[in-house]
Amino acid sequence: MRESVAHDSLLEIKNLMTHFHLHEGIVRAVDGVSFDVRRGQTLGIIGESGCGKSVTVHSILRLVPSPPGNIVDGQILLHQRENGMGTEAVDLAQLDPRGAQIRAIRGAEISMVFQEPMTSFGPMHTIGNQIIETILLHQEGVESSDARALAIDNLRRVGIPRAEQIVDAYPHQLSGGMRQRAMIAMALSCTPRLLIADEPTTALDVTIQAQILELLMALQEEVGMAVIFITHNLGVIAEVADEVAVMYLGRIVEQASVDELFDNPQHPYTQGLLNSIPHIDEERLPRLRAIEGVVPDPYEIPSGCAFSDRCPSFMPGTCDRAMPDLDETAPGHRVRCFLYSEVVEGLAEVENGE
Amino acid sequence: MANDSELLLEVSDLRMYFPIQKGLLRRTTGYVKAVDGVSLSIKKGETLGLVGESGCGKTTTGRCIVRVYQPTSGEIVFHEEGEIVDINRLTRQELKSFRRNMQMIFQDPFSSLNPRMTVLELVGEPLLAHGIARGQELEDRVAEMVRAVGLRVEHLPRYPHSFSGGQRQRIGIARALVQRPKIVVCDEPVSALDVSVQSQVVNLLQDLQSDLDLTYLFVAHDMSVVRQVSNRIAVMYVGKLVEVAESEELLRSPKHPYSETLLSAVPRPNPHHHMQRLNLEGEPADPANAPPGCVFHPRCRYMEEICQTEVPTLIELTPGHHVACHFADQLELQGIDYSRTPQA
Repeated sequence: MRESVAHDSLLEIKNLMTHFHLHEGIVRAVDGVSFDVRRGQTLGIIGESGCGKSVTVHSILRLVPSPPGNIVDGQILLHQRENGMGTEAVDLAQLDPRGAQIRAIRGAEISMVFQEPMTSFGPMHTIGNQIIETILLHQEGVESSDARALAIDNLRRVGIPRAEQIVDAYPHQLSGGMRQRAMIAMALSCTPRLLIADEPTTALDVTIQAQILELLMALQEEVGMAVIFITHNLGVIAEVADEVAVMYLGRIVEQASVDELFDNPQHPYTQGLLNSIPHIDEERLPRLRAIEGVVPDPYEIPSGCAFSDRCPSFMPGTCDRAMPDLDETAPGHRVRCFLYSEVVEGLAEVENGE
Repeated sequence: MANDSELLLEVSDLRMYFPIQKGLLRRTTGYVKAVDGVSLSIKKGETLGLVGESGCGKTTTGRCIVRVYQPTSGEIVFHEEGEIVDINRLTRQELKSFRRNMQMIFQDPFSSLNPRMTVLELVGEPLLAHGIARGQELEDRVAEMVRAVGLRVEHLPRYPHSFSGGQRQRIGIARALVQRPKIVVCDEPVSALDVSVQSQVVNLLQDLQSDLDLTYLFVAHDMSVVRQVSNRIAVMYVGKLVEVAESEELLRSPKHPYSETLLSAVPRPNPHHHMQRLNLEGEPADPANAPPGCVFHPRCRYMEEICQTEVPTLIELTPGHHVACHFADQLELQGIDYSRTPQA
């Protein structure tokens, strides 16, 4: 099917910067993020609140409220469906966020599942009508009489029992787990090539979380879509992701395949996160090895490396002087830390330009 | 940790039914049996973890114990220096002075603190309300408590909005502990916090427990966190306790099918972990309309005929290990085997 390796990427994000201009100053919520999402692959993005993981994916779908938010730099290249002549790339960052082009992409080529399904379903319409609306909007040639049958099929596919009755239910009539399934049904109703899942299981109980994760992975295999999966839960990421990006204060600090990241974490922040959580599979420690300090306020980010004020390996005179670049330390493993690379962010490009 | 086996709190047959009212006349048409016959005991200085999924009644149990709710029935007996007090029988006046013995730490540090009060007022209020301290003494005690939870004295005149989630939770902890309670009900105290802050607060709670001789009832849904802090764990499902045991015993050899599933559902931060996950079909039963027999039987993989009709009682299977399952002594359940994964 694939004509060349170059088309393996579905989405390429290059140096994305999304800033918020607020009274208190500029918040650099996303500050130079680059990654690729390959077809059929799951990219996990992990980080704490305020690290920019949600703003990154909202930027992809152009859902960042403007003002105050703006994509100030970077490209979001979506390689569209092959049209015989190879693929064509659209830069989503250049589209009008209210325009027809991005609206045709949202929900059809890229769709999204949110943490709290109650907020993404309108309360006034039945689940079925909302799914039917999506289908009619994006799929040409589907009659409204067929759309209902399609909606029921979609509900059945995500494991909702009695789908032909649930289709007429209102969102509040369903339990949290069922609502999340219904939202996944809606997101998948137009067979997107990329699904963005923003903390889709955080509000759910563990046994329901396990069901939803398994459902998402099974559907991904069936449909062949790529997934960007955002979470703060290291256990969930280990389970679903092929590739993991760790974000801290608007930047990716480490990125690797899931095995490499968990077996050989290099950035002190990644190591800190993995060490700080209790591991149920291991002997109990008398105390957890917590990361010192807190995520700084977005207006008081330390100079140099943003993690330097909490870092156990802090090197005075180096880490507080400049921001390290995200550099490859092993094939496919990129780390932003002076312990592994002396390359300073921004300088590499200057040198290349000379 | 718990060295002596002195009992601090004994709860027997606790029930909390919330009426369901319908229609213009608010007729009671049924009851949500949030807590339905829970018996447990907490030893002095120990942490009892109470785990279960949302709606299982774990929070309600915690709230009944500190008498935020007036339980429908049951005894909550508090042992205090030789004296025995049934919290459920206290009058309002008696309860008011008794309250300082039992405090609560809440989940959401953003909604549990009055935004118009400074840290000094928030932490000092309980002392003032109980007439324990005032003036300079109050300020000294507040300052001491605030330092104990890892905040600084400079924070005293500030308002909650200027603090991060983790710091707010520290304020909530200071407020609960400033009266030197004997027992603290921690209701999901870290689940709203960031990953890196969760471990700080867990460590803080453990340090304070040994410094101040506290006894905790630790209510949470995260099995890994509960195991980290608890001496014993009680597993709750739809208003009932299904299993109580020493933490490591419960992890290694769960005896109730629900505990087994809960353990297997915990997402492991290890991509090489490919344990056969035991998926639970369906969702927890409705506590307003619980199934007959064992409440877990509609989801149980080992269900037999007797489970549909007879309610299993919580029996002591081996010393200290209580299970409510008809087949507890026959089932070979899968626990956590941490001999394979050495600590890094």
